[in-house]
Amino acid sequence: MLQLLEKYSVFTLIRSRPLKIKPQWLAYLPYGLLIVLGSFLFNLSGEEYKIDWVSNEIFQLSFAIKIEPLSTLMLLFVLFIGINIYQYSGRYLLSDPSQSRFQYQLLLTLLSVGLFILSSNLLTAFIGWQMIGVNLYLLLNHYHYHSNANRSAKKKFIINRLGDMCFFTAVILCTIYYQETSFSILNEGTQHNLNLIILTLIFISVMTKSAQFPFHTWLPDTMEAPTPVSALMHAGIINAGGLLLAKLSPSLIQHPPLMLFILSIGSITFLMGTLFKLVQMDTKRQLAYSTMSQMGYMIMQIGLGCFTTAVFHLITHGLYKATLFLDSGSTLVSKISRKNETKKNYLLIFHSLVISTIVVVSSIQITKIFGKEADGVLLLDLFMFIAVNEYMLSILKKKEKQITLFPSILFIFIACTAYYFFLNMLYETIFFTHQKNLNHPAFENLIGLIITAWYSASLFLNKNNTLFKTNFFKKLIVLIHNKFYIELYFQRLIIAPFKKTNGRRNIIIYLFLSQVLMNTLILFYDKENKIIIYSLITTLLFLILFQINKPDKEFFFSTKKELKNKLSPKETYLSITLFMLIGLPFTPSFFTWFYIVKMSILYAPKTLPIILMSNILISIIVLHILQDYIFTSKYNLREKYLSSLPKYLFGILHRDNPKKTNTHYKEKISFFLIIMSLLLSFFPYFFFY
Amino acid sequence: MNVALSISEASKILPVNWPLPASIAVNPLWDLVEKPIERVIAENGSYLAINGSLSAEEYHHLLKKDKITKNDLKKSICEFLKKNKQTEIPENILHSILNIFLSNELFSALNKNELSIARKKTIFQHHDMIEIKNSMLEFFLLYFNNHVNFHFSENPKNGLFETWKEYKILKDKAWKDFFKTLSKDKSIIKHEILTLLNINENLYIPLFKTALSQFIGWAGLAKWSLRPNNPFSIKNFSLDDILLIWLCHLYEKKQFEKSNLFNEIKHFLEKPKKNKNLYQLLNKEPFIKERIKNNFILINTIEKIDIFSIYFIYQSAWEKKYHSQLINLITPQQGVAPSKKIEAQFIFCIDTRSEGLRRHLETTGAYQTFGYAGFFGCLFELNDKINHKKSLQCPAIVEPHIKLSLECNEKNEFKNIISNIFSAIKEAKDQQLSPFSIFEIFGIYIAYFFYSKNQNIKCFQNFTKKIFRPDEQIYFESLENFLSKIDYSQFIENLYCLLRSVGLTENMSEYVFICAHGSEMNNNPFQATYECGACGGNNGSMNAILACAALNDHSVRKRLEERSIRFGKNTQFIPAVHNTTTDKIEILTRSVNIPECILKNLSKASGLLQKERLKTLPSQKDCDFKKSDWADMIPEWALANNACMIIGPRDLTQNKNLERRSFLHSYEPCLDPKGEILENIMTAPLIVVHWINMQYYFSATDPKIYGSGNKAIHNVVPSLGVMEGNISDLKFGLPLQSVFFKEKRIHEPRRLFVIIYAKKEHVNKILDKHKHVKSIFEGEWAFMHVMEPK
Repeated sequence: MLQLLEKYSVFTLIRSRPLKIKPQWLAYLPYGLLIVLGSFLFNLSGEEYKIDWVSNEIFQLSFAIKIEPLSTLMLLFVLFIGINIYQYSGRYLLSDPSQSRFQYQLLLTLLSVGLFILSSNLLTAFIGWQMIGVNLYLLLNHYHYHSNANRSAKKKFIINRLGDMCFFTAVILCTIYYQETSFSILNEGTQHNLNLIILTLIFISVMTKSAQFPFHTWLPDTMEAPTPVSALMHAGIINAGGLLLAKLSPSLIQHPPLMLFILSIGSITFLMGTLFKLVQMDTKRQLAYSTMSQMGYMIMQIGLGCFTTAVFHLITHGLYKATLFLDSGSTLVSKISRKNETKKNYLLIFHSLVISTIVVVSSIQITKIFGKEADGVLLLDLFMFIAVNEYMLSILKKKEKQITLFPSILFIFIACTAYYFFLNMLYETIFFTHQKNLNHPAFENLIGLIITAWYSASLFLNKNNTLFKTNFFKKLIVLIHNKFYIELYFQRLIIAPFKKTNGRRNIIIYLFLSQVLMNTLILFYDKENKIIIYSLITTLLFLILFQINKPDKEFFFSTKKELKNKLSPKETYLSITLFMLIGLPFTPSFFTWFYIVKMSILYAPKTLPIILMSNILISIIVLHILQDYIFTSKYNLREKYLSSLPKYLFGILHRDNPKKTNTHYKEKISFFLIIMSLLLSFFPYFFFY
Repeated sequence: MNVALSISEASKILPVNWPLPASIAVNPLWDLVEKPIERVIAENGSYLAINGSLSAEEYHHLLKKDKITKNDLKKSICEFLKKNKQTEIPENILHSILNIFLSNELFSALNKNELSIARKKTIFQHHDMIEIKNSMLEFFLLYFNNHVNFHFSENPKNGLFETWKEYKILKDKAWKDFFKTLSKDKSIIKHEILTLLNINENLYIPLFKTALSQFIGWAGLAKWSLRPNNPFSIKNFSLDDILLIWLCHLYEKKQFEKSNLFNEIKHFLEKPKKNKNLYQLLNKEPFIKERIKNNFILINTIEKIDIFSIYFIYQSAWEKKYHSQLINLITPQQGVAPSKKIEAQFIFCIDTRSEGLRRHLETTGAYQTFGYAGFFGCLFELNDKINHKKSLQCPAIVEPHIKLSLECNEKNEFKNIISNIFSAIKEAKDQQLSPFSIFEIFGIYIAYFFYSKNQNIKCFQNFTKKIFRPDEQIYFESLENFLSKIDYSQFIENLYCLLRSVGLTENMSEYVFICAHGSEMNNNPFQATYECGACGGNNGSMNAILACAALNDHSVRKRLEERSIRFGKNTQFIPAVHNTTTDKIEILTRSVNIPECILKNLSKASGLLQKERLKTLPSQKDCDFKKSDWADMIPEWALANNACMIIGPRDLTQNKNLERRSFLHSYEPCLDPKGEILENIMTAPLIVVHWINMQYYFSATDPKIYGSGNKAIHNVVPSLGVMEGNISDLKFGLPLQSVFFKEKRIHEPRRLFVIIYAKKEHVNKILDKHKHVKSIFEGEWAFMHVMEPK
């Protein structure tokens, strides 16, 4: 049965190694399937599938998936990127003993991204959002025995946790006042003030996920994971926030102040990212800050009301970034393309300015003649102009400029026009509500002014100019190099507030007791005992799943002074149980937290921040525990701590001789279990009714 | 002791770290080679945490599998005791020591000791120490950033320290006050801080060692930049400045922040850790305690074996088995029947990978093969304007005096236009404010490149090749131009040496191939480590072409004939290159007609070698796929598992499978009555080979310090090297993927075993003349065996 499943599943088609088939066109097979899937989905567009998960007095939870052009497009894009990265990592991580674990985690991440993309209500989106977060945490922790990898994964998870709590509250607000959470209800905009609150909360969580300004600090620190993880994250995951905002576009447009907020956050992030990128020397962090600025640019486009452009940008950026990341090893020999000229040739700059003005203006006019008008915001046209100008400059500086000039002008003109045509096509297929009056002239002009000043300074001023040697400039660079000291304060206030507390053991035991209490609380409100049974099943499944896929192998041969760092079954159970405390979807504590937050909104709104903070603090503590006692190599502490805990908590499922089981067999079971757990988690309907 | 002297003394523990684009294998402890290997490691173990050997568990495993035999172990114990001036060792005591070495208790004690060392917190893990290290690493990166650095460089003489001082003053007011307490003169500050910290003069060297051992990569780069003739220009980056910055940080921590770091460092310096000896190790084991009891002679001898020596005794016992096997294999054959007429002769590089090719080539026909260092007597600096690359085409020890540049005058207009249009996109993307719209305009088309690169589609490769690389014909044309500029007279001595040491002074066949080697891979920052070491980590084909052109030249031949070298009537020298990734041989000239049977046999031999090699590679894919696959971290195993070097005629090793583990250098003792050629070999190629061997050895035994870590998380610093993860020291040595696969060792760390087929007097004379060569063998960094020719 298992063999059959594996033989005929989709995974064989997209497995890591390219198929050993002679004709090359057969390698296109999975992509052909993608196209078929795409056309199938486009035909289905407009249909919504809804499943009631739980519905009683307290919980009105339902999944909903809707197929529409936007989600189909995004799904195809993410699958395309994901399949390629999956194949890449199959060859790239061949020397890694835990490669299969990595591959499965990659697939799980992809599936959760897929769920998020297809979702048509806030709860489903939230669940996808959370699954992405947890899977990414596990992926970033691939080398869990490196404390650095651990720290960066933890940082990412905690910062995202802030946003998750906001999203969570938004979902509960929706269930309280609308009794359901679908996007269409929000988009109708019946309750203006409530919608503003919900959308603001969602935007805050988007800020944490898409690395917007005060929450961007986790992004550049994620280089401790294998390169494919970075590629997937920067290409397919980080832009999920943009997609969510695009889905909520009709209701966002009804709130101009919020749009102004979005615009300002986006532009600040964009400026910061560009500045930070300047002082980086190493390739991967350069790419990370570039992603940050690109995400800022995308959010800025959303703030301007250009949703189509934002979606288009998100896709093109994803494709570009994935290529750059996967190819990052080849940047060692950097060919210095433009020599540092001491004096600028102003005549040349003048030529390029004239040419690029003509190119940009004419391509915009031509699209106006032939098709509908694109978003047409002046600020974005400015960026287009800058790009074309840079292109023309590098053409004009070539030796063979005389023969290249005309073809290159033609080329860039065609490319620009094609871009505008693509935008129009996208606009027609996705049908965004698009309003011209949404511009914020004052703010837009301010950003435009800053960018024009910056660009003209870089264009016209020589490098030897005395302006660059002033103390002000030096101070600015020192400031930028220290990232405006943002991370320092983040570290002190949010990441590690409990650095000096002792006696964590007490806290853990307390946590376990509270988990038991929370679960008993459910019993009072769930008279049909559905939830408790469901949560027991999922808990068991989670335990078994992690037992099999547990990160137990060391990467390489241990050397003399280094110890074998293994996660014993005990520790794995502990880590999973700890994860179950913080209210991830499909764990029992999810319902508990849901209930607590809902009650506090209804009866004691003042306690809400305290409760949300307590969840965040608990997750911080949990991650600290995971890092200090389970993942890192503080052996003395670990042994002491584990021996003192009651043995029966872990001893029940403890296998005596884990070496005996065949790894191949293990993989098969894990494969089966993943599918089973997915079925179980996504369609509990079959179990209950 | 003088400060400057103690810095130079302390810097001996640093390796010379070559920038990765032209990285060269180096013995990381080369400056300490006068001392025996185990003493060097024991003395510097507290700074660098190196072992230089396998773990106890692995030796135990080897012992169980009979890869370390009882006899060999006994021999190596004997040798060790003799070295330590134990004159009389009674047989029964030797026997009981051997029993201790064979016992499980010793291994368990060693394991416990390893555990306790790993658990102990050293000062290098002190969080203030790590903080200082990280802030310095961040600053080094900023210092090398060309975008930003020009703001600080008002005075072009400003070095690392001045820039750092300016940076710190701008950053923090506390640092401004700190610098007010110190004098302004840079040369005085170091003395000032050292006196303020109240450090005894004896402790200067250990203090500097603790500082420098944290920055092996960057400080090694600074050490490299002292070399006179470097292919890249590097900024003012000196060891003095690195040390000075570290001392400033240390003093600042002591003065302002009330950190206990300084006290701990002082404690660490004043009470150096003593290594345990065998007796102390076994003292707690009851089983062995009984055996030792009251046997005072045994206790005395045991006390002289310290813990590092135990590991090296096992190591040399393990190596001994290989040595005896190899010597048995290579007994000189008597009465070799004169073979048929030789069709062609091949001169290969001494690289281990050529050994397999030579073995297979000789089976296909009547061919004669030789080995010589891969630069083939041509030392020059190349400025390749086609691939925008500067390189030193010579071994690292030598300095070339000739500069050549390679240009290509391609006149294909269409190609020029297309390549310009494409490259301008890349250039425009790297500017500050343009990437946003550039991504939007061209991002959609990138999907095709992304996909075809990932699937490694051939038509895509051909497309990029056609656009961005010159046509082959034009390439060869420009090569000929390049050759015409050279004055051959400088090479004649080198070429004479090449022909004589190989033994090609007469009986030249019609075709003599000079075959260099190079590798081909994609997206791999470590490409230089796969290339020819004798050509300075570059493709050796240029050297082969140059050597052939010189040897085909009439005037050169005349002058060589004056020195009693007899060229055949129709002898032609043909350059070729062996692609080590695909094992294919490419002929690098168009002007000679080569008989088809030779070409056929060449491809047959390369096919045989490819078959043999593919069995060992992890993914059983064709090499054509591997060479252009951007996801492949292990395109080939390069020189992994190298173990020996054989200096002698090919007759010794003919028809014998040496498993691609040996460097084969041709040498005819009868042509060298005075031993000059042998001297040349033992002072240049031997040392390069020793470096290669030691680099692999230490990368395999101490991957954390002398290896560059996991390739999957490497973060490239353009034109300098790689870091691991977010921030780390610049990495030195080979990555894990070059010496390990999963949990298996691909490279078995063995010290070099040199077999020389020459007279013993010659060898001894040379060793006496060159002390550093002698110390390699005396300190057991490598082993030697001399075979007397009859």
